[in-house]
Amino acid sequence: MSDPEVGRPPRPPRPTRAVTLDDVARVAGVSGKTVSNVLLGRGGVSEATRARVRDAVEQVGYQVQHAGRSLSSGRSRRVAVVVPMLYQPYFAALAERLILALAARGYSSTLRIAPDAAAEVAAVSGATTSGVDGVVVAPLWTPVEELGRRASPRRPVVQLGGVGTSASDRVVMGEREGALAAARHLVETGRRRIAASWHAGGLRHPDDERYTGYRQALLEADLPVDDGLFVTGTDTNRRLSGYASTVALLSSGVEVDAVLCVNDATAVGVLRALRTHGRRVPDDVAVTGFDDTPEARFTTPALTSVDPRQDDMVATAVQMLCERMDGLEGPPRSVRTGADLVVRASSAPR
Amino acid sequence: MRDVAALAGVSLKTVSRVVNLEPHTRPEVVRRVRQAIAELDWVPNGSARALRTGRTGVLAVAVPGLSRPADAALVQAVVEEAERRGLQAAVEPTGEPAQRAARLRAVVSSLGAAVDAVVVLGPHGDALAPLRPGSPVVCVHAGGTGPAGSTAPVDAVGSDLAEASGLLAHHLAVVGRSRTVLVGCERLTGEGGGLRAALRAAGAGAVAEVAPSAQRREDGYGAVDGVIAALRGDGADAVLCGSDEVALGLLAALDARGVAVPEELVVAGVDGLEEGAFSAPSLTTVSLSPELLARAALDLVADRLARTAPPQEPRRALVPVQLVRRESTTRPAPR
Repeated sequence: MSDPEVGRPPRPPRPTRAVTLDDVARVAGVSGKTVSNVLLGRGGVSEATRARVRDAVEQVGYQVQHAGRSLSSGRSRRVAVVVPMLYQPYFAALAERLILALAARGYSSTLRIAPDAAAEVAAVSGATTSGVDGVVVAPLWTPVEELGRRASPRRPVVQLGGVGTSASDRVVMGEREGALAAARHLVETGRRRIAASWHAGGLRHPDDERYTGYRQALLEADLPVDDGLFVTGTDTNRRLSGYASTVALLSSGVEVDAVLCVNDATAVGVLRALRTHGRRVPDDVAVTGFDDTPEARFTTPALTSVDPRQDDMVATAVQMLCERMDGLEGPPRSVRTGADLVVRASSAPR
Repeated sequence: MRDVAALAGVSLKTVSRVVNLEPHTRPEVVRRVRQAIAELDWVPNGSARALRTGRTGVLAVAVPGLSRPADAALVQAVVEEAERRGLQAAVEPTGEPAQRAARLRAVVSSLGAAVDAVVVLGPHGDALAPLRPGSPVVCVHAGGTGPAGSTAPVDAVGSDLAEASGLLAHHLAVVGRSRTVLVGCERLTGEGGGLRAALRAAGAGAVAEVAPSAQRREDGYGAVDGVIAALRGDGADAVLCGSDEVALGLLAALDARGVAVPEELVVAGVDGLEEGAFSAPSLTTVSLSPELLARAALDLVADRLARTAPPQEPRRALVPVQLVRRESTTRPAPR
């Protein structure tokens, strides 16, 4: 049943339903298995048959489905971006920047919100992100050691932030430098009773670099590191947590003339609590944040913060991931980025 | 999968039956296969499964970007609602307007292959026009915030902006204000919003409009000169902002310029961002209830997947909004 003019099987009526692999097989006069072997680039098929299958694919207008293709090559040019939540502006901004930076390198992104350790591990290990070429994760729930173990040459993982030593590539934020700069600034502007409003997760963990920076500045200035000035809340509900921990701090009766906050959202809650409890910022109490989120420029008064150079972190992470996806082998790398103090009205000298 | 089959002593087909929860496999065989899967630490390939079962359990959520807190809150709500219903959410960023249509088409073309259903957040132009009626696709806030603006033959969900306008106008009247400045209020003065008429009816008509398309904090901050001009020149006593971001920027600028809120000017926004509860003063707003929007969207899409809705009828759902009264319109903030 070959067409005498072109020496090929006749053009079949174009089906109105979706074209399937079986249509290709019928036109090429081979089995479905052979078609898929050709499409997946497997061996054991003669060049003549390959040509016939390729012609048939073109003839019937068969489109290799996305899900099917990722089965074959494992190269989808898609990257999974994993963040713990979007309702904290820091993570929303980070996710957006990662997505844009990956797009500039020709990678599309799929974003996973991991509200707990199980979801975080599932997204990094591939259980909920099959078919991606790599993963960038901002870990919150799972130690970086554990997440790093999920990396493989076929599924490289880059971590952004987190605490500890990683078995995968990692960008380390300038946490200690940033907190140190903020605390030194408070000391230099005459503050002596500098409280810290923290989240429970980093409870003075030896690897908690922000805490280390805060402590170092106090020790340098011969100021006591006073447990009564260290208050904690949650890391998931940051504004509320800053509010609640400050109310607790004020009602404990300790003297306080500054609050160094673990992040901007916490500081926003702290500002509110100070105001509702009759403390003026910065006259009575100075406040600093960390992250320099857009929110910080528009608080009343505007919030002194630490800019962790998120653009650098993102560029570095994307660069490392691309190198791994291009086949770079070798031990896990750790790149440290810097941090800059941004002084605004909330810490103006009295 | 071959290793799993070998270890369990069964055929590949049997492994696939077990993984895909198909019937007709003896319980002891199921146990053996599961044991082999656990022993080998094997992760079933989702896309292979999709090709066989026709269901991926994945909901795509297409969104232009995440840098706007209201967008981020809506995405978060949709993802949580999807997970509550046992669907895994894949958030697909569609980016700047120039590339949005192409990315959106790519997301929708993965229907039936990589994803079961799609929730499209924000304006989508005509990118969805080629969709078949009855497709498991639902648009949320296609017209900015309303359900209008979607020309796609699929279901759409939006906030009840007429209700938002009415609530704000009535609230201004209740707190004794009669001359209103609009900042970035485009989305409420347009079709489906009716803000101007609502204000007139409440006796708090608009006396000036500043930066109608303002959206971000810096836009609100930058609108302060126009607002102060209306305060001094037109006797304005109230400001309505089309978004909380604009209102928060404006509050910071008014504080810097020494204008007392709410004594001299009351200020209200729209969105219901958490930040508004912490600002100085805290911000009166109309919450667009992301959780309700997410629930309505997932209800519609679930109907489509179950084929219980008439396929030819694109449905439109309006979700109610809620006035949140705070210091910026009601009482002096503590200072």
